[in-house]
Amino acid sequence: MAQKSVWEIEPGEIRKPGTIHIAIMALLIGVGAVAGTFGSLSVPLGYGVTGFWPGVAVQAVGSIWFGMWGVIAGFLFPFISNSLAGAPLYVSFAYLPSNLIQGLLPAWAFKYFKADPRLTSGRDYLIYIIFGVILNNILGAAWAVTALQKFGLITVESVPLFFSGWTIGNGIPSLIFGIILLKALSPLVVGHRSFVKGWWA
Amino acid sequence: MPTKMRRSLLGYLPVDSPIFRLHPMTRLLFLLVVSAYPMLVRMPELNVAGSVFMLALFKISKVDLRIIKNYKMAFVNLFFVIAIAYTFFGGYQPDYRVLLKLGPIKVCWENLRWALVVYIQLIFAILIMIFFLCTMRERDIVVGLRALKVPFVLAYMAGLALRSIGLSIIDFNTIREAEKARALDLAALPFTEKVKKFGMYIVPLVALAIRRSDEVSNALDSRGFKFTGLRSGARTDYILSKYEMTKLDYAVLAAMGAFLAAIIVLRLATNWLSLESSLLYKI
Repeated sequence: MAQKSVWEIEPGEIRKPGTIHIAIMALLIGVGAVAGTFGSLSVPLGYGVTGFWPGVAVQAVGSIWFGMWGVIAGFLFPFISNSLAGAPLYVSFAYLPSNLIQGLLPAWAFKYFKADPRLTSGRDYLIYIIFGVILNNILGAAWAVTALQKFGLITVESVPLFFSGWTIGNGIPSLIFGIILLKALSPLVVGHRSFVKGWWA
Repeated sequence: MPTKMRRSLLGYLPVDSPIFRLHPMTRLLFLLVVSAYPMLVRMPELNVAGSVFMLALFKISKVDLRIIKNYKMAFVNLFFVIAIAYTFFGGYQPDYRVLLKLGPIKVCWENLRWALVVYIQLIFAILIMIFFLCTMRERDIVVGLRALKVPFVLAYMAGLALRSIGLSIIDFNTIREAEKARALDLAALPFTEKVKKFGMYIVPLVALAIRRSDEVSNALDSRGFKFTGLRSGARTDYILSKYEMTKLDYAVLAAMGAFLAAIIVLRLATNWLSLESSLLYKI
């Protein structure tokens, strides 16, 4: 018998947002801010762009587990981590769509393709790598460097440098830490009341 | 007698700091409004003036200036990144003045000038952010948001999120101490290993956050909170009632607003704030 998808609503199951989701979002912001600040300070490339940003793993995995709560946490915590690392407020605002897409895309992909966050098959890994490591970071980097260039903070010629810095600096941690997080904690999270099967509950 | 200190988001501030005479909402709006100045003004002279003004505010507010020293590396790094980005990746046009040739790379005055403009602009913006972090507490942000009539759930979430940063740092230190107790010598690790190790801390940090979410949620439920606010309906915002807007607040808000309006008008109607009016462009 085929195993049931974790996204499937059980008969009679009522899901609605509650205080647990507010709590998990706030706590995720805290963890993300700490991980993000550390990353922003470790291999800085300027304007909050870093050669190694573990915060992206919290964005991608948090959004897969907690739906929109994780997505919101994922675009809010970089405000704090960037500020603590010395990035101006308007630069953090400019990154907002990038941080949104970096969480939203893997969350959407896992729900749409009914992939298992516990990464039980090669297909689950592939979906995570495509949408949680490659595509989301490429789109995030594309927006971020466009915004920096529009603000006149970087030249057109230096766009590839910042683009590759963002993509690699986010891609490697989301590949390593994202997979570790999903493998280690998904079995616990999918059984927890904070797990979001839809977008909000 | 030792000075009584109050913890801020980025250190400690004396209780008698004049900044505490301002309502938290004014201080919150200061970040939002004043941060727009360097975004709208490119002229380096004005951004230098803005930076000097911010340093004066640090002094007046009795902020420990050693905090700025913590950002020394960030400032230096930013300078190098901008300088490299603009000199080596700044492009070249025939009318550019070449200062130095490094093989195929031409270091031009026009690129270097642009790097200086951007750097000075960012320094002002970063000082605003550091000032905000040095003078605000978690509680101030919540009060500021509530005074701005931000819904309870959002203000509460902001407060909890800021509090959770402190909790995550405590957890982080606990994990590190546990590793040290198991004979891990962090100082002996090469840089790449240190970075990898720090990244790995995310796993226990997230696990602890999930466990803590249950405690927080149960505490909220047992105190009668629900998703949209209080079950019992509206009540007096206790912390908010402890603060009052004074004439000084209104004066500061009016000055900030007027300054912002003046910048926007000058930017749209004249070229006084343009880069061409700068001394750097007359060299």
